[in-house]
Amino acid sequence: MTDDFVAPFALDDSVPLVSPSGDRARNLEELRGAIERASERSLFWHVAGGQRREPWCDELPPDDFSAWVATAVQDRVTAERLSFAVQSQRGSPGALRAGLLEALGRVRERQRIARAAPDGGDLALLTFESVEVPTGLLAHDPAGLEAALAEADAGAWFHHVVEQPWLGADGPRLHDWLRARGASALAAWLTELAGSGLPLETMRRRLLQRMRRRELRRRVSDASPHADGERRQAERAAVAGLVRRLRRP
Amino acid sequence: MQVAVPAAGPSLIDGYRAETGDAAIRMLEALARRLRGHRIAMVSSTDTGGGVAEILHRLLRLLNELGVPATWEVMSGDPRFHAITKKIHNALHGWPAALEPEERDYFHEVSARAARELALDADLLLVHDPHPVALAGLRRRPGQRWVWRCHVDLSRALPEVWGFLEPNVARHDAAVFSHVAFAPPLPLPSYLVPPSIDPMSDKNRDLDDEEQDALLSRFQLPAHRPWISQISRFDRVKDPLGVIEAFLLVRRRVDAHLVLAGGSADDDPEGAEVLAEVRARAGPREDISILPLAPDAHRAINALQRRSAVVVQKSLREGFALTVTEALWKRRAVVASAVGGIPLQVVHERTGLLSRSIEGCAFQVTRLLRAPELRRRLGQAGREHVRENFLHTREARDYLAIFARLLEGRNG
Repeated sequence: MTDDFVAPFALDDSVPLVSPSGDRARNLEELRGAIERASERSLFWHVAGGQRREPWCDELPPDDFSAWVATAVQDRVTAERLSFAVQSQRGSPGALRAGLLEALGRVRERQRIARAAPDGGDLALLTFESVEVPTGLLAHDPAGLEAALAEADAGAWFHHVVEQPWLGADGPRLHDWLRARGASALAAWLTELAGSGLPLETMRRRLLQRMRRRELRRRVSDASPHADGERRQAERAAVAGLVRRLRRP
Repeated sequence: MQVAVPAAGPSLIDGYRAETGDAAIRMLEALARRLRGHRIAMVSSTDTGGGVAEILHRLLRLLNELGVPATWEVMSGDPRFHAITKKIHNALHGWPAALEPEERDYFHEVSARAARELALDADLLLVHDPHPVALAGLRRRPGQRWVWRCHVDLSRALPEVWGFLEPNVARHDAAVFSHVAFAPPLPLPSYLVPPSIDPMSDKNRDLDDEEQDALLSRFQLPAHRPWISQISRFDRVKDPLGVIEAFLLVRRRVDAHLVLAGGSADDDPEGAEVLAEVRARAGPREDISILPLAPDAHRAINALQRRSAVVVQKSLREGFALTVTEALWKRRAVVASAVGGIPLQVVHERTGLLSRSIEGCAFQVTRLLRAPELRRRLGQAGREHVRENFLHTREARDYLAIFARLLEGRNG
């Protein structure tokens, strides 16, 4: 392990400072060009920024590209294809860009120019930078990191679970730190969770559920050498506890 | 002039914690620690009336409570200067206006006087709107950071007037806009920071029924009809005449009462003229109340918004429209124009309803008056949307992050 991975993992919150990227699109053809030119940060913010803006919602609004094509350009079919590309290509900037361009490429060039937003309805592209803010939460091992994440706010989730794996980071990344500590399964689970595009609070609840399921298995397993009656009692207690916790808002 | 920021009274931080939770406060405290040892100054044209002054009063107190020493300097001007800046303001919104050479000279003359009189000695100065925009070029000292905070929608700015301001803006280290559509291309970093409201201010805090009754009794508004209100400065860009037209269409189908209430900011000489036009259009109708309010009538505005069945903001141009934020925070059903920063707040059919015409406004208002459950659903979603994105804690967070970014990276 390098020094980065020997040290405890410090969980940071982050403030996204959003800026205009300088690029604009008035029609599907210009959107195609803008997506080709967009930085990875810009692409990321347009598909994942909603997670940061509305961490508590039950269902996220659509990504900025699909929303603009559906409402300003009024091309519902292309909007659906873009939504699907975002949903299925969240893994990496390259795959996402290719998916978006492929969706737009299914419209002929003349049509792409013709399908335009009304005056004043341009899509102005954005980008962002993260200002990191220490949370004071330090993890010494994977279980500690799991517990810290369960406590952490939406900003920390966004930064470590969603943003850093996508865009890379200067310091040690959460997933790499977990792998270096032998917790590859947790790292893979978090990667899959980030790829789901769920609201951040839903992700946090899923982590809590995962931790509780593991706790339930441990308690049941601890009770197994005991008599059937004791084991059933332990199982019932564990299930009742889980139900109580899951009912909490 | 330096504005005194009262430090007494209940802690803002404790109050915000109750509204936003610990996390937002911990974030502010952590950012404030990064700024330890630096002084911040706000610079604006007035400390009374208008959304900017309201924000600054609370923001300054919050920054000081967080341990970030912050002061507020007001660049005073005479009626001639305010008439020129009003012209600039209108031109930035796209209304025809031309700046005469002598007006440009006078703008620079007043700016030079202010540059001599104001302290302007903080490590970072956040300069609000066009009035003090020339100060950065006149008073910058080495190591200082100057940030221009534009609250105006510049998307339709007249090129000749923007061309007059732009060289002054370019002397700042960064610019901040409320919405991407408002931000022109600039040779400096531009950040997007939507403004915000204070949930604990007199204008936004909870009021019980008794307090509302007491505050509203002097207006003699009918209790038996639902109120449609627009509470906004009497300014042409707020389209109060358009609101009356929409109301007259609504009244063909639904019983309702229109309340047009608002004050006029110190730096807006057109307010009285527009108010007279509105009174003339309303005529003797008993179902329209026009209520000019004093700049400090915050609790009355609060009560009016809370008692309204529908809050309208039928602006033709907008910076951000904090009146919309206030109404959403109070769980009101809102019908607003899709201009400026309003669509950031009113997500159509999710947190409120957008309209683009007098007829559209009338249609949505009528729809809401007939659907109490829709009003309730939109109102609740609007409240949560504001809690997450448009309270002072979020704006303070963004500013602190920008300050940290600029001050930590300075080298002269």
